[in-house]
Amino acid sequence: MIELLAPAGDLEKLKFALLYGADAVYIGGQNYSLRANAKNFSFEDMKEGVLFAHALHKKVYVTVNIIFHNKDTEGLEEYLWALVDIGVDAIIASDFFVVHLIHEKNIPLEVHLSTQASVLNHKSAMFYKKFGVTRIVLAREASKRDIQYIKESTGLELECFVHGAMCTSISGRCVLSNVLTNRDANRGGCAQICRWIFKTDENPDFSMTSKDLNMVYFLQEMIDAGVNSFKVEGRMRGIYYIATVILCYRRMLDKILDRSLTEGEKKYYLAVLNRVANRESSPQFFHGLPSENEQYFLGRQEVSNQDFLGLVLSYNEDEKEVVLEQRNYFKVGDEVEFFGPNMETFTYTIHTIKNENDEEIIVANHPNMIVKLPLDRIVSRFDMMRVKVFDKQTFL
Amino acid sequence: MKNKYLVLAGNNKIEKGENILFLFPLKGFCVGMTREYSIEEIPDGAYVYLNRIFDTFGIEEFEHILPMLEEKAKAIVFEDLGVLEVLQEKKSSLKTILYATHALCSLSSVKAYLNVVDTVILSADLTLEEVDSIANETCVGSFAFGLLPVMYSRRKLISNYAKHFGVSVKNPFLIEEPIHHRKFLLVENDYGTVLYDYTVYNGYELLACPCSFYLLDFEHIVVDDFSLWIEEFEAGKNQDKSTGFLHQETIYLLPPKEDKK
Repeated sequence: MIELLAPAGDLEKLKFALLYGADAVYIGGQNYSLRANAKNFSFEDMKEGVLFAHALHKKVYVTVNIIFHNKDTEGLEEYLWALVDIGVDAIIASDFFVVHLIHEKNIPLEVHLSTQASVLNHKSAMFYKKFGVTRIVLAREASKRDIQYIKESTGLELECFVHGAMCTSISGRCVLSNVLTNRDANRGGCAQICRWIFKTDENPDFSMTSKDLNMVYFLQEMIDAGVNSFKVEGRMRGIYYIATVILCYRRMLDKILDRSLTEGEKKYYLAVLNRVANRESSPQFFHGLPSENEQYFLGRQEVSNQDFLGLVLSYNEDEKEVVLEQRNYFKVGDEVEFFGPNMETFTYTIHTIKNENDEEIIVANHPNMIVKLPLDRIVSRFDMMRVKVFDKQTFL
Repeated sequence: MKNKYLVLAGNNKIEKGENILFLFPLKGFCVGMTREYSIEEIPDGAYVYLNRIFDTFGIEEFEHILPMLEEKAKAIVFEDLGVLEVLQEKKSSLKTILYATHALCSLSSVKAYLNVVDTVILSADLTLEEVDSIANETCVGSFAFGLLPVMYSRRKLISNYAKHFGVSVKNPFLIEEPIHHRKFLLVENDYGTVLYDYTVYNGYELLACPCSFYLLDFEHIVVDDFSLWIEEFEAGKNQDKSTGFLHQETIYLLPPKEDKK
């Protein structure tokens, strides 16, 4: 089984992730989730999300991955039973208390062990297997050899991150945020102190910021090593990021499985992924210890991406006109491209823009304004328009 | 001496004392230490410390040295549950003490772990009230003195920094966060880097909780005489240090934006 697993910070993102090709999503409820300050899901949202996913024969996993303090434990069992009733496909747990509780009480929930539990070896994985864990989300520090060995020794499903931000620490082994800001990193309050600048006595400023992870060139090796689920990080990310990243990995995985992915296409997808990210990326620990080249030394270096120009709301085949919700500034004369889950990306030059009242305008410069563009090619709701950044043909 | 202590001695001279047990970091199986001990150096009946998160090589190496370790050691303090799995598979008689630095924060978690290990050392991220409530219902140890380990990275953060800037840097290495003026000590070896809060943590108040034992960490602190130091500690001297989270409960939900002012 090969699964592409996407983050979903809310119901809208869940729908985009699944429509753009994820086989499953991981979400957080209102409690017990490590993205405590994301919008997250109410039980009602969860029900709708699960129904939506299951209708597409896809899955929803719910994170219950905080490290519990005494006051957090109250109500957990009821919460887990509510997740059973909603029909979620698995929970992602970190604290052994959660794993043990589900095992002991025979709560019918599949348990995936969170990356926060820092599993890097087969013995540790075997320990959790005895308590009913069916899948291990390996620590991001796992090498190819670790992955192979754990798979061969345990037979467990393995989930590995392929894209997104990295902690400087082994995930879960850090309370820098607690010490400096009193925000508990292991209960979802991480203030990302590892991206700050520190002073030294005599030397240049110190930084330990990690570049992001991307595994574009190593997906085949990951499959060969025994990875079942390819996980993208980013429950706080927006729909454009999720759609772009998931679509790239969907297309790469599909082409790997039918043995048609070319080097040119890898280069193209890597360029698209690098463009949508706000930090540089690398394969990090897969082939060994990262060097100084996998870190930043001047603290947080992020670039805001404004490529997302509009979200397709509808397409009128009779009028040959697309209705868009604007997301970033664009104007007549701009060369853009449309992309979506059920179409090949195509380039388009904007010759005319109309506003909601069918009046011609030169620029679309108001956030979320509704605009109409003449368009011969059919597009669908949930497709997107972005800045034309790359010509795929030049990569092939 | 009223209480039982488990002591990481660092480079200090080890002198036995009543109710003091020394914890010996095992060479090649630890991170963040200034002094590690080979199996040959470990005295009979010792408590041995392994705080690495092990990769495949590491856990295989542990499996390999376990028979030798069992001849010397009485107990093993560890963080990686793979160690426990190996001990169980080999039906080891070593006493097992889990010290999951940041993952043992509730009574429920402690109770769950006590099904599989002999005892645990609580995380240092707890309030005094939380420690008290857990210690009242279970037999646990608590971290009571030393530099708080606040981050464990698999990366070689000091070496990477030195290479990037082409500078020579000492290990351990001191850095300062310029807003709060808080200092952190980085200690690196081949298995990663540990960041310690350089403000010494003094959990003297924990002695009022019914913990079975207390962990004192002198890895990076010089002390002349442990017995004398502990006498003073129990008498409540040397309290001009940080109390960590004992009186400062952490938060994780931020106020809504409109309330932030």
